[in-house]
Amino acid sequence: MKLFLYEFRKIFTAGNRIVFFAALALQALWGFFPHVYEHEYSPEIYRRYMERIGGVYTEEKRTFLEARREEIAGLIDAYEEMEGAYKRDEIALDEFERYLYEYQLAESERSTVDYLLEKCSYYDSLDGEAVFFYDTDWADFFSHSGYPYLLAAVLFLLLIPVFDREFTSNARPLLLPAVSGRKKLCICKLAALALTGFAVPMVFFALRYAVFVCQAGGGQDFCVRNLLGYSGYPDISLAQYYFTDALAKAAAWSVGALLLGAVSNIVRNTVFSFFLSVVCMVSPAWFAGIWPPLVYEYAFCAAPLGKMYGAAIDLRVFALVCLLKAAAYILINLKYWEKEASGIL
Amino acid sequence: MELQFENIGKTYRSRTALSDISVTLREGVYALLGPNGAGKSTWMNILAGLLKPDSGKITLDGKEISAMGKEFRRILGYLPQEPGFYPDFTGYALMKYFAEIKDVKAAEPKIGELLEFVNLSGDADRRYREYSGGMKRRLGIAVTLLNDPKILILDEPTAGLDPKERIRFRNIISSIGRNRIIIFATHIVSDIETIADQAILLKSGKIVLFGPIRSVLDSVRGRVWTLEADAREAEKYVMQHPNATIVKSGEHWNLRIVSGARPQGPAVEAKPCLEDVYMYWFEEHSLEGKENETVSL
Repeated sequence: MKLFLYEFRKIFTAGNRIVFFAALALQALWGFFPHVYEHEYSPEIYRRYMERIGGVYTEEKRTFLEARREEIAGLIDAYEEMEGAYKRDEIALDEFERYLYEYQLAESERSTVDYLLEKCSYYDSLDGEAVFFYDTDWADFFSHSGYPYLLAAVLFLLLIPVFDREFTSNARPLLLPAVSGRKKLCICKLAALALTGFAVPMVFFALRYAVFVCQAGGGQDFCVRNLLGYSGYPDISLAQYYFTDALAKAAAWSVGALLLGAVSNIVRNTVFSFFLSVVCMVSPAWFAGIWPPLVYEYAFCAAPLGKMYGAAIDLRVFALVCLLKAAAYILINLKYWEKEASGIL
Repeated sequence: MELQFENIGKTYRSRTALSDISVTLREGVYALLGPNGAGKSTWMNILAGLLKPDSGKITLDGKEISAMGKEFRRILGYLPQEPGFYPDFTGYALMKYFAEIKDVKAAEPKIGELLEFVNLSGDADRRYREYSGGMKRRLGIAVTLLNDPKILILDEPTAGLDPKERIRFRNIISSIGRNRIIIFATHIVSDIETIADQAILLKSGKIVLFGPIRSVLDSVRGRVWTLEADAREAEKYVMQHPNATIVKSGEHWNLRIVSGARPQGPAVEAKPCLEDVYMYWFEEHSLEGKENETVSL
């Protein structure tokens, strides 16, 4: 246990603690930075509609929206007729201006109402109860998670030295001849790697969530299936969905941390370790399109590679893949930690 | 305690680092001498379990050390060339960490004693990165002694130290040299002349000479000469004997020459020192014909 704690002490040196907290501050700042995303509808009008029809989805709400769509269509279709009537002095300017106001309103609402009716059809296809609420921020939050480059950089900086430091600083010749310097120390290092690889991403994800909730307000208890296109997910809340995804990502990063150890143990060179770590853990995100989606998500742990876990992903299979990969990386680490390095020593 | 090396060999690709090393060591301080690339570090690393020999075996009191595993590591202390400690740790924290790694029970009093012994008690709370080269070496020896090793391997421990620190280091080794096997690999012969019981001379991966210091010194008796010369003559002598040691004394130069034949001029036979042995066995011109010769004294 003491050796395990010493490994944490080595990971979180004064310099590394500064890096870690600076990265957290950057992450929080980035969260508060206003993000503008494009939508096929107007979020402002959508929000107004939600103030009016928010709550449990009902047939009446659908009927209301359909009536509004017909009204909008009628207003838009009447434009040429109204313009002609005004030109022919059949209607007064006041009346035409009132029409134009209604027309512009209809024009601006059209896409939003179309989107709402699309949601109505989606809700009709769902088994259970559906709820209307302003979910644009949540949908954006989930679909624009992106590859966490900052987290990757912090993890590389903290975790690559766990083994690499022992080679490059020539501490390994002191450690290996000691009673607990072989398997026991290696296992403690791996445990520290896995735990840090899990805990640090969880801290980042929790901070991202906290900053988002501060900005977006509530809604976290609504079912994730209320979001358009999320019917494949189980009946869990938005918060549960986010934290399930965060756990899957953190588990994948934890396995990735063991891979970082294996890379350091094999190459025994800091620059090359960083290079190979980027190749193994960042570059698959750049070439995501070349893999069949499921293979990509399971084999490369797509969750840490930027997006929320897909509905087709079976989390039990994902966990099994993570365990198998972790076992392989642990064996590689154990083998290479004790392996002699010809020409180095 | 008997540490026996039997036909140890190690090759890196096409380069032979150690060849057919067979020697038996008992309690005492052994000076492992040889030029850079002689195979000293390879030998030390094999004994420390960092490298596997390609051939041969090492036994301690008849038991193979590779089979002894932890049992052997429990009595082993190894201070490598330029040991790497963690710069953010204090001296005391490093001692505690290595006590844990070495599985030393109730280490606190032992740590205090060792820090006192290497004269670092007052600096125990300073970070390792703030230590001078000598302090780092002394901390290294304290770390190495934590488990009270019966076999102590010191690989070039005095390299880079100033003369004062080297004397202090030698004194430490002298005082711990009882009831253990200490192997002190170096190419700085003055470091071990006064503290070693026996010397092992290693050249190109082979033992060329092994025996008690006195016998090793005797191996060059009658081959060490001193003479006094002026600047021009001194230059001539150096041309003939590139291994000559020259010290200026007033208007003249005192030369010390290691040579099988008496140099021309007023040369006087001198009492050999270990440096002469080193010069005789490792000076390039004098090696011809000695490459395949192993002398056990």
